[in-house]
Amino acid sequence: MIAFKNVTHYYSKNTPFETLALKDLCMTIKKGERLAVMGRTGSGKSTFAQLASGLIRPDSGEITVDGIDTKEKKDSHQLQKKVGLVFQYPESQFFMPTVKEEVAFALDNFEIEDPGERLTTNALTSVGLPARIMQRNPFSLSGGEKRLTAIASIIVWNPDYLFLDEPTAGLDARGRKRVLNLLQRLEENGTAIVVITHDTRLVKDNFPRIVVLSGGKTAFDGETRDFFKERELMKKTGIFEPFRILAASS
Amino acid sequence: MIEIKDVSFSYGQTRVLQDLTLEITQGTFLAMMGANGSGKSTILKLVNAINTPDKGDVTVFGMNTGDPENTYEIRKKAGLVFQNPDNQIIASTVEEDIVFGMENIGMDRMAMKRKLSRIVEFAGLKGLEKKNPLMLSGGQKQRLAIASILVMEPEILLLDEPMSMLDPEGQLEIMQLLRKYHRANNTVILVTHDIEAALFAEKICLIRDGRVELMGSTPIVLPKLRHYREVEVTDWALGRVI
Repeated sequence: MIAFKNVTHYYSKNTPFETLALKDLCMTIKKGERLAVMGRTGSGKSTFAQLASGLIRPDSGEITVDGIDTKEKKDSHQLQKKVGLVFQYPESQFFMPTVKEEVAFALDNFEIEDPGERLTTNALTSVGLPARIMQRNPFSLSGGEKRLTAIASIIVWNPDYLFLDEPTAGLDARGRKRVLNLLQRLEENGTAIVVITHDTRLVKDNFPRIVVLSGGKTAFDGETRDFFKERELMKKTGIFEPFRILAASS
Repeated sequence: MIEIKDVSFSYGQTRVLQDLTLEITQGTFLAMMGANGSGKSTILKLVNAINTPDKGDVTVFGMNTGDPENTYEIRKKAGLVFQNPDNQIIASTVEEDIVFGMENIGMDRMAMKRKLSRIVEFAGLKGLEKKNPLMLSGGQKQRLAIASILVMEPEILLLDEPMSMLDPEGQLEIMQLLRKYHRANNTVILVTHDIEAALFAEKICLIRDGRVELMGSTPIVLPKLRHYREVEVTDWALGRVI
């Protein structure tokens, strides 16, 4: 279980640019759970994912992952293996010269053997990337292919908790379906799936639990179908289908 | 007017476009759709003269992109906006970012000031002129990226999935801005996977296997897209055209 206890986080603390990202956040994520985190740009969603994966540490409060405190530096390797984070911008994640090496890197890092490159190939196949792109430079791929490569490079080591920041942005319908099927399979294997997204349709149809952040605080934490009945709260937290609004106004 | 005639293009060994032909008349709002890796972004880069075709010709208002002498004029006429506004914003305040392009070509100060105030109003950035772009919301940042292009008064705006990272309010702001710009007889080419965004374009084209698979007015093309796995056609979008 991942547990946030009264977590507060600032950026550029004690400078003129000090910005509050999260305030007194309390929540838990159980193993095998599937949940979506929504909210306006700047509401604290990405900070939440980075804190959970131990990339950044909270200014106050406590985050534990299966009992490991994310502030404990000595446990950071163990923590990294438990929590995988797919970044919003895939380019932020890439640093190897080929797609194959990019995907295989984590296995090396965690000293996981990959006889016959079975794990690497499986990860690429499960996101639907063809074998022919294995030797390409990740930066030379199209936007959608980059996103799928980023996902493959995390699921390759099968983390217990998988955070995905905007996993369907820039994907065509086929890529989107493939990612959804993949998430379903991972969930069935016991992986907790947490997506951070603006994609209302994705959440409505596929995620039973939703956490809505607003100004760094939890505005809603509960069943997705209940949230989408709360018209006032949806409006207040900026969650709607923009093009339908536009159609209604024109 | 944009004319792409029998164009083929490869990245190294990877063929992206194959004998592609596409004509876009001035004042069109076109949504360009297609699978990941189908060549949509490459087409935008060919029009903006970032890339030149291996075979065939691309002309923008009659100027061939293959002639380096035309590059400057073509880029003045056709502005390109990327998916991630952070890749495009370079200055430390909103107004510095907007005037950067004008300063670069040595524009007269008074003219620059007039254009700045007009574009700030047009893009809904009034009151934010002295702000650090890093402190803006996603929608505001993308509007700034677009404003910095629009201030150079291009007649064609090329956008590569400009809304996919924005929250719903940001997406709405960008679409409203695009419609306003289009109404002044400018051309908009919007690359998107979102059929509900494409619905607001006059025309839709589908790129497949490096060629134009479908091209036509939105009410005609949109229902046909149901037969293509790379596009998700929602009942709501379909209900708007039939």
